[in-house]
Amino acid sequence: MNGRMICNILGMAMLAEGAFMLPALAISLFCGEGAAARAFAVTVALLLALGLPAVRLKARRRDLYARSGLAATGLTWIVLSFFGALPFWFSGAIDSFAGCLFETASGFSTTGATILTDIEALPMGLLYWRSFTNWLGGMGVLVFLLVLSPLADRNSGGSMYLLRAESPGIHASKLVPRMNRSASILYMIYTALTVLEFVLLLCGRVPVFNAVTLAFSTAGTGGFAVTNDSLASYSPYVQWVVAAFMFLFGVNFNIYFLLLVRQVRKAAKNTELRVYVCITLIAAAVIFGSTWGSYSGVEESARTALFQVASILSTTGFSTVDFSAWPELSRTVMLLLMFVGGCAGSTAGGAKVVRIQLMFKAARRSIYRTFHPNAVRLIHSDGEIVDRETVSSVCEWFLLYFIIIAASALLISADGLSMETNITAAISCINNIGPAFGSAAQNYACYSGFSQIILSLAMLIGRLEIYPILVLFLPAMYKK
Amino acid sequence: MKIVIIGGGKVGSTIANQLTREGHDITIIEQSSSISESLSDSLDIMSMCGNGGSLDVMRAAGVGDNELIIACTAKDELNLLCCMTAKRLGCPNAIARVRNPEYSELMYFLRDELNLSMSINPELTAAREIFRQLEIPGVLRRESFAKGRVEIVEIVLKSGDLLDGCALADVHKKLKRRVLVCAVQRGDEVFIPDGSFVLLAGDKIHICAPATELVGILRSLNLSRRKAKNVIIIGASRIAKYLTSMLLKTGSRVKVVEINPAKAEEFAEQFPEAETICGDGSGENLLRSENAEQMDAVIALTNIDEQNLVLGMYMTSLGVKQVITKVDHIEFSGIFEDKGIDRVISPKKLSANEVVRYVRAMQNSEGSSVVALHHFVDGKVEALEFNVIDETRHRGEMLMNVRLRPDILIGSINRMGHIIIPGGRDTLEAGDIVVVVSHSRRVILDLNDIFAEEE
Repeated sequence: MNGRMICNILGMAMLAEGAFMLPALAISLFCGEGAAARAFAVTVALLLALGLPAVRLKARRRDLYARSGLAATGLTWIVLSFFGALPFWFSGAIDSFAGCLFETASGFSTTGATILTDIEALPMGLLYWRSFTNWLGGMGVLVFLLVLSPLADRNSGGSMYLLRAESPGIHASKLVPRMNRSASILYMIYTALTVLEFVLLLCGRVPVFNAVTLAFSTAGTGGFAVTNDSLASYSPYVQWVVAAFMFLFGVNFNIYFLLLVRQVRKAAKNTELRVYVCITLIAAAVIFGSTWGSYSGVEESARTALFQVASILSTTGFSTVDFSAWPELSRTVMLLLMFVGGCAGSTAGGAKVVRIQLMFKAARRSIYRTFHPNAVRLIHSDGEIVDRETVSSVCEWFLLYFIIIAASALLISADGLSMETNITAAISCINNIGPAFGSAAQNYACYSGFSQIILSLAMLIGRLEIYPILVLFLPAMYKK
Repeated sequence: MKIVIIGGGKVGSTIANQLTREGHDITIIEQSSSISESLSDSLDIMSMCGNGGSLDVMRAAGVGDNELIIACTAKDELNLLCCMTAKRLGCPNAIARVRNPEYSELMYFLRDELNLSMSINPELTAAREIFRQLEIPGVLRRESFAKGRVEIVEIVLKSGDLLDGCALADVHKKLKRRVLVCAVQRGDEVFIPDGSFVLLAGDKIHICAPATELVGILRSLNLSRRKAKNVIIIGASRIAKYLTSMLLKTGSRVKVVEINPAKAEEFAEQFPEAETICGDGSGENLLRSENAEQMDAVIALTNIDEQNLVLGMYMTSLGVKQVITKVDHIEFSGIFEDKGIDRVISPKKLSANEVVRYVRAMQNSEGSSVVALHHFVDGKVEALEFNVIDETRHRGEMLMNVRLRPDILIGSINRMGHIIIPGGRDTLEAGDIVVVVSHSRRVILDLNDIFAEEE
């Protein structure tokens, strides 16, 4: 492993985090929140003091291979979550450190789960920082660093390993030949959509601070709101806007790139997008039917159903109603949607539509094979043959995914909450959604510090799609 | 510049590597998915899997938006087809790898239809390079500039040599000739030296000198300058064929060892004047019975790098003066230098150089573009040839008053066929052809790039 190189990358990530904290610091100063401002200032100083020497370390070789790439990604996210938690801790806004960690990991992993019972009591600076972690975690901090610098040796493709470890989906690929161009196009699309949402929210008379934080949380499909009742108190117009953007941020960003370069037909042909649209519509229709009568009028019923479906499918986790109190059919649909998640290459979490598609195709093939044992059947995706290795790696990924869900549910069940709460909490955290059912429907304050740390890890594992965090626990990782 | 490369084999990937280094956007189309994947892992390029000759794939790769297509698959016909298709898709320039000599006339005949800007033939280039080295055995490498009037040669200084311990400012006095030491390799380091630099035994130095002075310089340095008369080639490859025909024309005696009887027979049929031997060229007995150690030169051209390297080491240990080894796959050929393998030929690198020179010239169509480009010392140093034109700055100023950027020097000036090895009082004039030596770190596109920025 290239230790110094990893230190360089960590250092750069820390400096970037420090820089990103400055707006939060400014907001705290502006609002006269002394404790929060001091907490931010101390954290920024700490990040500078540790980040600068780490960046200065001279790496003998600047190349990066699979192992170091994975380790660098996993460590970056853990380190960022740790330092991101410090302002909460120093300012005394959250009184257990596990809680601070949970809140930040939930932010960076774009989960949006909270342990706070009264969100509105938080200082403005911290509220801003919470939503901003959603935004940064959505597209990924390493992708952001790749915009600024090639990180690994320019002529080795090393940075490809970082991109792959951080961006969701089976096969992360570049949009254009150059990595930093590719990364900056992604961030440009991301920023443009965020600004568009911000402007539309302003048009709906949302206060500027709420509009900024809402736009950040939606863009990262995170789901941190700045009000206690999530989105319930906003106007129907705002709810429609947010629902639409949650849906849009769950779409593969390659599609937007194709639209930018005017390849509309190719974009429309994308099967993952089509399935994603179908799932949204069908799920919303079922919920619309099953909750019919609980809301006044067709518009409200449709809005409520679509908003909740878009929120869970894109793994954002905003809500306008308490869906854990819905009829069982609707609740079950919501639970199933949690597993799906958005499209590959989006900011959403979950298993991703493309993986589900592949699994279904593989399952269909294996059923077919039971009565045609010698049949040769290939699995296609978007007109291209999916090779055997990819299919089996997706199956293995699912196995690990369920093992991690089971393990986290088991570990947190020691707190003695109901089985429904524990299982849905684990599912919700790994899929980066936020709200669960049972006692954790609103917040995770009911869990002990130990469980909160387990869930924080689960959220990061989910965001990085398992491997980058999991390898850190493997002894073989550290052997020569 | 946006460039598409079709075929990610040895030549394709080497070209891609060199061109990404120079900041171009490269897309590679490669048929094998595993190669395509490993290319995108190891280089900052876009790689696509598919048949580069298919219209669908070329459209998907956006060939029409690119400025240059380089077709270097293993098949000549496919390469030519790709270039034609690319032209119709709107890609203005094309380079094709065409190896079959039978197509050379056809390419001339169909030049407009094929849209070919240039064709590369790695084997022919390699054969030419080997041939040029055989002409002057005393040097490790030679590159010629200004239509052969200027040469840069690489030699090793041995202890007790005339130049051992000599400061560069005194070199021309010792040799009594106009020469310039333009690059020195000492261990792993490379220097573009100035006058105070002192040469030591063991240095590999690159001397820039007029071609007419070369023999004299080699004589003063006690280096062999007799042309290789008896040459043995191991492996009847395509390079061997090109080389044999060149050598036979100049009256050398050529012996070729080939293990495959069918190939040996074919070779014998094609070159009746050469002596063809069918046998294992890596066998000690055969080499001894063919008197390999008394040959002027041994050239290892089998398809297997390892075999070539071992053969090379063995022949050097037997005392053969000139051993040339072809290495195509192995990247760390540097470590073999101390082991008697100091003359290495890499066809893919030679071709990549040709392409890079062409691309740099394309980028700089208005100014004074690169006429020739050669890499030395594992690609760490490059020598470029430029025409001095009216746009060139500092014309007519004495060089002692012109500030060049660090690690750059002017190796020679060719003024109407007269070669000047420049001193402080010389000047650049329009119409001159100059050779510039620089560190490869800095990409030089235009002659004006060599001057330090004015304050």
